[in-house]
Amino acid sequence: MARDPLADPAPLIRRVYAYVAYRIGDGPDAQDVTSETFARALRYRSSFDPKKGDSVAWLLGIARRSVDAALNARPRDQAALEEVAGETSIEDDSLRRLTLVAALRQLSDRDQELIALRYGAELTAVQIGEVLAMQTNAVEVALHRALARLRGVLQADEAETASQLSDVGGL
Amino acid sequence: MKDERFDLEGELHAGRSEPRSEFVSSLAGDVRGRVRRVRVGLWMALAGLVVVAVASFGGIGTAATTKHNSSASAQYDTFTPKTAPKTAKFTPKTATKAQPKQAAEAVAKTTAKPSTQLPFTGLALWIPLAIGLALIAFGVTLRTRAKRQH
Repeated sequence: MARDPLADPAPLIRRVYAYVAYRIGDGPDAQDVTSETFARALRYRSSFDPKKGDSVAWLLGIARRSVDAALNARPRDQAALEEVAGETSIEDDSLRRLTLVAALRQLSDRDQELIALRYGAELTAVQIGEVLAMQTNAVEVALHRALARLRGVLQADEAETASQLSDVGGL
Repeated sequence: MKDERFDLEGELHAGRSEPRSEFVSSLAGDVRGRVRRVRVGLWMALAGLVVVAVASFGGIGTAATTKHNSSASAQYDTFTPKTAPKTAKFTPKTATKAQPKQAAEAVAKTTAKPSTQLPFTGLALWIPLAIGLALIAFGVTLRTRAKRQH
């Protein structure tokens, strides 16, 4: 009999939530999508095959579909508004983190996905390969490029902020 | 550039959101409960199947063997050397010819009462059958309820 993939759910919940929060933002929506992911996982528990990958990769495959469903369900404008509202309500968040989140949103879905899997769910390149059906090398290259693009967006934002400040100073 | 990369990765790691502990414990408890219910249901259904299989197939098979043996021994008892000629050989033909009434009575005695008891224990056959059916029903109910909750 295959090992139960949901035998120890607490650490799995943390990883799935971190991934979901990276994709759709921290808060009640992330909790809903995490709960939905586990509900689906319970329903399709028999489909888990330990030969194909570990339980985290299997769960994140389900989480990806739940995230896609959640993103498709909510209108783009509303999502943007909620995102801004969520960001501004967190008083103790550093400006750096807000900038990072804003920069992440400017990346393509694929890049966001990769970064969320790597830094949210803390998967290795091998595990990401299992989730996205990619070769490990391809994952490493894609991740490297996603980080380079993120760095580019951050630098562009910093340059823009600096020019705005210099304009204000000039006035 | 290398340091910058590490800073960015550090920021990404630090920017990882942690769920509220109440949410984690609540969802984990829910998941564990459902897993346990489904597992108990499955084992109960399996246990029921085993009991029914043993009671039905094993029990009935053994009872049939016992019946067959007792009928044969009854026939043998009827034609002991005392009653049958010493030289006579036991065949169904000679048996019916020799003492047809006695043989018919013996056979009727053993076949008239179908065995409803399990061999060795003497337990009535309906008891394990009822237990098995009850276990299967209980297991199916648990699984249905768990699926409905999902």
